[in-house]
Amino acid sequence: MKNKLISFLIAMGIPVSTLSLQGAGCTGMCGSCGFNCTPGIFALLFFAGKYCFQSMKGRVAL
Amino acid sequence: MTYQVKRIAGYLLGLVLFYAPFALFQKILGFLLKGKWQEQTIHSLCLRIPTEHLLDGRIFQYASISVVSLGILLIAAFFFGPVFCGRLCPAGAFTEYLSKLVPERLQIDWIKYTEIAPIRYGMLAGFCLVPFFGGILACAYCNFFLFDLVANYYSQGYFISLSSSLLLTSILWLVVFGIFTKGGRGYCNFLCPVGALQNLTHYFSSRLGFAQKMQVDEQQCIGCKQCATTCPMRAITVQDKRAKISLHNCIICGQCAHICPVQAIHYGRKCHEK
Repeated sequence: MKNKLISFLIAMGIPVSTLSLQGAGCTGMCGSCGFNCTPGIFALLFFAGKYCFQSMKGRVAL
Repeated sequence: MTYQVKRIAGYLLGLVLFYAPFALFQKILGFLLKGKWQEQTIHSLCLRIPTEHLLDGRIFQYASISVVSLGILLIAAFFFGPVFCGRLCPAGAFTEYLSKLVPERLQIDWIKYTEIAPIRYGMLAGFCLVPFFGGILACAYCNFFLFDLVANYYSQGYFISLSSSLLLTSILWLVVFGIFTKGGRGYCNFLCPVGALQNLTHYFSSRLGFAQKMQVDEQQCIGCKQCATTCPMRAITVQDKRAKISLHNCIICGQCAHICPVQAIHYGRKCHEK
């Protein structure tokens, strides 16, 4: 249950992290700003973290 | 007509109904609502904008076609489950079929690494919360829109520049959660708020006993795991030699019922579960 809640809250952070873009001067074009694609990057990091963490714990036979 | 041909025909129908240059659904709905036959684009139908504004009360400020479409979608999900995702959405089907080109040993089975439902609903909750803080996320990270751009490129020869968020959407949708994910529907599972909303509706209507859903006959199930392996949404788990379908991410595609060697899975309202 605790893990589910943590996953839920972190996943909620994926779209919410877009708020970091507000007023950051993002034009939506790659390279025009610094780190203005936070939700996508956040999602990538989140899932990469899940993958690495579970693999290191040895729960998944690779 | 075989099951697979029917399925592909459904997705092609979805392409004709929802995507330019045809966009027949939007045109018909626009004609019924406004009395005029107009050219429509994917944005007339945008399901993400009304979803994003479900909680902040601004939903009715947006294009009536979108709001009515979302209403139709949720009513359909209430009674029949998320059939739009499983039978019509070409964006989800595109990565599902694309993933069949990559060997399975190179693909990640996300169900082994994380539970799907909390992430699916967490993403939906965050998506609905963003407008309260003045943020907008509808177009960014929309695979439906990205697929429309691809369809437009081939049908009309134009393509807009990829913005940073669309570039990331491509990577997430086509690569990470597409060809390198078992089933090819990782994006549908984790990052599609419209799909999550339909499954939430489906879950509650099933609890109330209204919904038609995929059901496993426990007496017949032999626990062979073929359904779990073939499910593109990874919605099936097998415990104690009995298959269990999660209502939180089943999209009623019917792959499980088609592959089951003993016909233990069927679509209907009557519950066979103990």
